[in-house]
This record gives sequence, C-alpha cells and structure tokens, in this order.
Amino acid sequence: MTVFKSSRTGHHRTYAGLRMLAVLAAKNLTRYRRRTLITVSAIAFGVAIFIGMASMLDGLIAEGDRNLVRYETASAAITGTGYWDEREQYPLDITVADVDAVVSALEDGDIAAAPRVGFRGELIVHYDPYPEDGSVHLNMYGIDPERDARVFHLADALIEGQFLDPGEHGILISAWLAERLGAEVGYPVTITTRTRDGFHQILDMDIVGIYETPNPTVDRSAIYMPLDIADFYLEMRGAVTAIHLALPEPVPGAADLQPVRAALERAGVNLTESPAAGDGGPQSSAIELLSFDEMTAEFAAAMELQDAAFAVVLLLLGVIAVVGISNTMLMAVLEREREIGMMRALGMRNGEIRSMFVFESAGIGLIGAAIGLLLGAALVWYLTAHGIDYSAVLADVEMDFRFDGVLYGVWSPRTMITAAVGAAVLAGAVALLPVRRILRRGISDSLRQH
Amino acid sequence: MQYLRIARRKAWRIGLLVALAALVAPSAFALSADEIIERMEDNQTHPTSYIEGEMVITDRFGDRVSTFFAHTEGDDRFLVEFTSRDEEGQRVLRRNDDLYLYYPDARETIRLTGSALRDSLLGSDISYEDMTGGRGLAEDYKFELLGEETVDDRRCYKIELTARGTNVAYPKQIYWVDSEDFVLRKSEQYARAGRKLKVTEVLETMEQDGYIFPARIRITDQTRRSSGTEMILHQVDIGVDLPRGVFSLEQLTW
Repeated sequence: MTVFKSSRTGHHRTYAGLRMLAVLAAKNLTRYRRRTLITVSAIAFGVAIFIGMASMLDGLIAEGDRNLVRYETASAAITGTGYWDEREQYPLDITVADVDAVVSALEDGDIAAAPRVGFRGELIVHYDPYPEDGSVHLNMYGIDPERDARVFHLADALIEGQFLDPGEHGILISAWLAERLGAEVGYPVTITTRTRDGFHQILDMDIVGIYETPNPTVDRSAIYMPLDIADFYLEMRGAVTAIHLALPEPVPGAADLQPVRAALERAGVNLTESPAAGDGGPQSSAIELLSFDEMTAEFAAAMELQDAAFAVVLLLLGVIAVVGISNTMLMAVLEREREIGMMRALGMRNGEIRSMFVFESAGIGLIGAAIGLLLGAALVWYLTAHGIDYSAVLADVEMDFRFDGVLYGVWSPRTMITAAVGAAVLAGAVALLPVRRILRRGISDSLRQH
Repeated sequence: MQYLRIARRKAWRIGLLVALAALVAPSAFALSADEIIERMEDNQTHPTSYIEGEMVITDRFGDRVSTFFAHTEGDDRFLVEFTSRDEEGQRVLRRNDDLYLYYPDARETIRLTGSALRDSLLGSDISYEDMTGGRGLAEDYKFELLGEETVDDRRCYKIELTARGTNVAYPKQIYWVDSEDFVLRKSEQYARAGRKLKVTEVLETMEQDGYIFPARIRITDQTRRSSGTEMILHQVDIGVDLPRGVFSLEQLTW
C-alpha cells in the first residue's frame, strides 16, 4: 500500500515536472524567435520537398503502368509458351495457333480479347511525296481493328485520318514518326520484313491514320496494320503472337485471372497446350496466360532501379534537412551553455535539462512538419492538377519511362504523414547530442562561457 | 556429169552430217540447269585463297569505302578483316554454318544467330545471312533453265532458282550464267510476294590459276532508290598456305 502511494506521488511529481519542462521549452521557442523561425522554415521546406518528390515518383510509376496497360500489354495476355522471354526478337514461330477457339472462349466469358501479331520490319519512304528518301526499323503489329479497340486505347489516340479497316492495305503511324518522316495521311510506304518461315517479304501500304499516345515507347517505335493483312503477308496461317485481355482492375496488376482460366477451361482450351489444329492449319503449340506483373517484370525491375536512384535523392534531401536542423539546434544549445550551467547550479537535473531541450527541438520539428505538410499538400495538389511538363527536355531522349513528358503527381497520405512525423521525431532527437556534450562539462566551466 | 555426181554425193553427205548433228547436239552438248550451276560454283570455289578488296557503300549521304582482306577455304570457311579506319580490326569469321563477329573496341566476339543474321554488313546491301550461303545451291534450291539471254554482250543461261524449303532468305532467284566461261553475270533476288528485292550485277571478272570469277559486283536494293554496294577485289591469290589456325575462335580475338 505504501509502495503504491509512493509510486502515485512519484508519478504525479514526474508528470508535473514534465509539464513544467514542456512549458519552459515552449517559452524558449518564443524567446528565440529568429532561431525558431529559421529552423521551422528549414524543416517545413525539407518536408514539403520530400512530399513533392515522393508524389512525383509515385506518379511516374502510376503513369508508366497505366500506359503499359493501355497501349502495350493490357491487363493480361495469352502467348505461346516462352514467347514473352523472346519478345524482343519478335519471333513468329512461338504463337497462339487456334486463335478463334481462345478468343471465342474468352468472349463467351465476357472477357474482351485482342489478338495481335508483333513483328520487326523496315519502313521505307521515298522522295516525293516525302521530303527525302529514308528508312527506319520499327516494331509492327497486325491488329484486329474492332477487337483491339475494346482492349487498348489506340483507337482513341487517333488524331488524323481513320482507324484501320480489315483487308485494307493501310497503316497507322505516330505523329512523332510522321513529323520526322514528313508523312501525311494518304502517303505510300514500303515495308520490308520476313515471313514466319524466314523469307524476305515486301508490303506496299498507305498511311491511313496518325495517332498520338502518352506512351513515348509506342509512339517512337510502333506502327499498326490490319491483322488479316499481316497474316497474309507474313504467312502466319491464322496464328498470332499474343492475345491481349482487358480485365476489370482498380490499378494495373490487380486483375483477377481466375475468370480467364475458368472461361478457357469451360471451352476446353488447355493453358498448357492449345487445341490441336487440322492438317494444313496452324500448328498446335503450348500457350500460357501471363499477368500484367509477369509481362512487366523487366520494366518493374528497371523502375526499381530508378526507385533506388530516387530513394537516394530523397535520402540526400533527408540528410540535408537533418544536418540543417542539427546545425541550428547545435548552435541553439551551444549558445545557451551558460544558461544550462545556471540551471544545473540551481539544482536542475541533467535528465530534466535533456528533456527540456528535446521538447524544445521536437516543438520546432512539430511546427516545421505541420507547415511542411501544408506546403507539401499544396505542392501535391498542383502536381496532380497540372503536372510538370518535361516534354521539351525529353523530346528526343531515349528512355524506358512510359510517360510523354508531363509528369503528374499522386496523393499518398501515408508518405505525407511519415515525412511529417519523421521530421518532428528527428528534430527532437538531434538536440540530444549537443546537450549531452555540454552536460559532460563541469558546471563552473559552463558558467564561464560567454 | 561425173563432176555433178560427185557434187551431189558430197552435198548428200554434208546434209546427212548436219541432220545427225542437229539430232545429236541437244543431248550431247546442252547442259542442264543443275550442271550449269555446278560449273558456276566450281568456278567460284577455291581450295584456299587470300583476297584483298574494298566495299563501296552508296546511300543518300554519298559513298563510303571499307577496305578488307580475307582468307578463304572451300565454300564454307572464311575470315574477313576490315582495314579501313572506321572499321579497323573488325572481323567476320565463318566456320561452316556459324558466323562470328569480333569488335576490337569492345574486345567482344558475338555469334550471330536468328534475326541478328538479317542485319546488314556495315550498312551495306549485303546481310550477314547472305554471307552464310554457298554450301551448294542445290541443297537449298531447285533449278529450272528458262532459256538464254544476253547480258552485257555475253550470252548467258537464264536459270530460275526456287527454294526447296524454308531455311533460305529468298524464295526465288534468277541467275544469268555466262554460257562460255560459266561466270555468274547477273542475279535477281525476289521477295515472297514476287517483288524484286535485290539485283546483283557482275561488272568485271578476274582469271587466276584457271578459275574465272567475279571481281567487281554491284548489289542494288530495289526497295531503295539511292543505295547500292559495290564489292571490288583487287588481289586474289589462289592455293595459298593459310596462316595456322586462321579460322579458330582464338585467332579471331587475337
């Protein structure tokens, strides 16, 4: 009972003491207004920049994923087994053979599916109507115009001319490419490529439409033609290199693939082996279902590297903020050594002095973090609403990022709160070091300081 | 009268000889398309050789000259080393069906496979794939003699080559082979859709140790208007002793 009483009394005394120290710390904040203002500004600036940078980095990743889904990968894809690993070689011998069976199975399950044939070729143009002769190696895609528009956003990206019609010897090129070639709708092009069996092939086509997407990788490297034309000239015998699927998903990579598996299973399409084709038809081969994450694993790895680079920048920002805060606190503490000596001489214990300074620093940190949070929120609002236009700088820069130059931020409350709390805690912690140094000296030495 | 009888007998004999000759000649002297191609290949294939030459690549920016020397053995082994400033030290090695590139700057050897074989040699109209043929056209193509035509005042056999399978780049080619010396005078390569893709013309020939072979050829890509590649051989020594291990991968990087 005595122990409890004593403990309660002690507890009460400690609370009163802490309150007194907190009040003292608060008074000190107003006593040294200029110092407080400078330190608060430094912390606020650091927190706001950190929040803005993190928002832009998240925005870059989100934009990249969105552009991958909309123009390159869709939510998922069915390919010949092993095709995705070799896709940069654009092999025409790893295919989905019985396209009709797969597409019908998916469409019966209300899943939009777009078959595509991807191949490499050289696009050749000649003086008149073009300003000069030229050629460029490009990625080329045979697409089913109607089905492709249900899965990808290419049709919405058309800015001139018309979308593709089946059976038409027409191609879509990007505005970026059209500008560099001096091309317009209606101009002829020659395409040289190889058939599925490796023979040289030449196609004479006309430009029927010009598109512009926010995905620079697509704009700078891809042209499109009707699937039946590609099938005929490449002698694909009905096979395609991939069937892309549109699935409901709140963010890229979140789609549930189970309905796809179920739809294929219901139709008797085996994911490890496609249905056998008849004589003279496409050869049967193993097919696989790839998720967005599987298709973008390399891109994600590249982004992780970029993330790491950005993380270093953020870390440096943090270090600068911490050093700034430490320096200000160090100066604040050192210039008050006599005061500390006085407090010790009057009987204030080292722990109490330490606590008082920690409260004072944390107070500065809290005010700075709160202002930084407000500034950061304003910055994120601007970034999400207007973005930052890098297009002039990145016009001819080769890069892996799938964004067209205007970088938008995204809201990340978790990052914002982490940054603010982190700054406040750090500010409190960095005061410990100089205080500890002074407390090691004798009281008389401290009192002699000017 | 006696004179007239003799003249008639003589005329009859001559007539008989001419008739016989006309009957016999096609089977005795006419060559089949396969034989013509075989004789052409014999002419072009040397046991061993040392060659010095240059390649003039023309495009819309003008002419570019790349000089080289090469060692060859039979029809499926060669080592080409470029000596011109821009490509100095670059080597192309062919061993049977394998093709290797060596870049001295990177000190790297690359084995060309798949679609990489379709790339152009130094931006010319010759692809690496074009350099891997030559094991004997009969393996890859069926031949049909289409007739005779004159190319640059030379009487030539016109032969159509049709791919036997799918392991070749050109589904169809047409060759004009000189009917006298069995040198290829001209060839055309076609795309699958039937469009003419390339034309190779032999502008000069060279005779060495009983072999007659093209010494200056011009290749023009028919899909481009202002491009072409000329291959000129300045020196060809046939039957030379090759440096030891010249076709080895170790020597390639040396």
